[in-house]
Amino acid sequence: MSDLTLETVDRSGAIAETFDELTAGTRADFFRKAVIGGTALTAALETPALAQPRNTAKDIAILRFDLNLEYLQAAMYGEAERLGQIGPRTLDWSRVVGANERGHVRAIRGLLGRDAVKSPSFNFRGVTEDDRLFTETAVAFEDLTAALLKTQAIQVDSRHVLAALASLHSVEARHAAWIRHIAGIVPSADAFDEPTSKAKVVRLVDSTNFVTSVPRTKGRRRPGYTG
Amino acid sequence: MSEPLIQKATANHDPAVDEAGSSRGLTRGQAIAGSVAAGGALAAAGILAGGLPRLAVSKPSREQDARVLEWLLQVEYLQAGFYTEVERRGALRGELREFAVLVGQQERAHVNALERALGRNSSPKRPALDFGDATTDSDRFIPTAVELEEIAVAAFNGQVPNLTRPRVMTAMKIVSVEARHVGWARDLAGRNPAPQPADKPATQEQTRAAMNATGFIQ
Repeated sequence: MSDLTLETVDRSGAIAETFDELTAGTRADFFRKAVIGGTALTAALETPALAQPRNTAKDIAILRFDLNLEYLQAAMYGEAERLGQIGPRTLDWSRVVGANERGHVRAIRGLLGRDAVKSPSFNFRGVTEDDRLFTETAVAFEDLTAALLKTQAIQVDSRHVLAALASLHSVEARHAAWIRHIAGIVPSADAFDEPTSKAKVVRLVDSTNFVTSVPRTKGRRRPGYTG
Repeated sequence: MSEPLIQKATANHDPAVDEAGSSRGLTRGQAIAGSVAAGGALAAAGILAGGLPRLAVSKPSREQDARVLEWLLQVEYLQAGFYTEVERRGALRGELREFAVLVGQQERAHVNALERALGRNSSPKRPALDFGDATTDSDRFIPTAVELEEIAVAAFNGQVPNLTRPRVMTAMKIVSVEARHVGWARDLAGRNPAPQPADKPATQEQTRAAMNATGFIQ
């Protein structure tokens, strides 16, 4: 098998800036909440372990984007595990990695407190029951997530958030190496893993058409797409 | 890269799993299912109740960058020394050899990158190392590789928040590769490559203790 790239999964043109819209929408939502004042701060303080300084708007936007990416991965791997149609090694992978991504969802929700967003709805369009498609998609998601977290690591304002992202980041890299090993691709192809942009991740997510609806509190709706 | 070799070497590797050393006889699937249950509990109790790193750091500065990178370089010297000796002694075969050769190249590249980042004003000391038969005995090699890679991942994760932004990126680009190594090594060993949702960072003291406990540093 040749090395998988983002392009392998990028099989349709980008349809909508789902995730971009999502973050834009939630950013507006954040400002609305900010007017209400200390509600989110109070909520955070109610959880002693997370009694950290209030997240900045930039950190909230970054964490919300990551939360959606974790929702997507957790849902995809969880569905593959439930359906049980993929190969045994890939199924082991989806079981372990699905549990980890659910852990990431909880961790990021914990960091966001009241600023957490709800999960979008997904339709995985058969990918969760086809071993080859599942593996290719998982390689792309794990490689890209690890790459995105590097970009975010130098963007976040809070060093608490940075430390948290770092401890999730290396787990995504483990996932990537493991699924590559299963696929017979070199798990660690380069001495240095390069960062990637949010735009690239958005393009990947768009290209899959996995996101079918995005929770909204207000704003215009785009026509739904049915694939 | 030589994908076919990897597939071949993986095929004849023993699938029996022993994550904690106490569950012999379990199939890989059973052992992994067990560790997922444990992982779930950790996710709830660990991540949310303080498993995410606490910080006891001073404000990042160039001076602090240099101290941190010098320290991380010691971790890289240990790894690079290990794989370089594996390759030189040439006792391993199949995918283990392939792993050691590729990972060795990458660890040496990390050493070079950190030495370059530190510049000429710094003169880091290379430790004297003795790996015994861990570099020639395939039963000892892979657990040692897992251990050294775990030490590196935890050490880098612990230092990332102490660095200035340009050096955060330097460290992230390296730790990501260390995490790939540990995932690969654990899969080769039949162990769960990603047993926890978050990698616990180590302090410098914890890393030093773990490095000394290997017995490789003279």
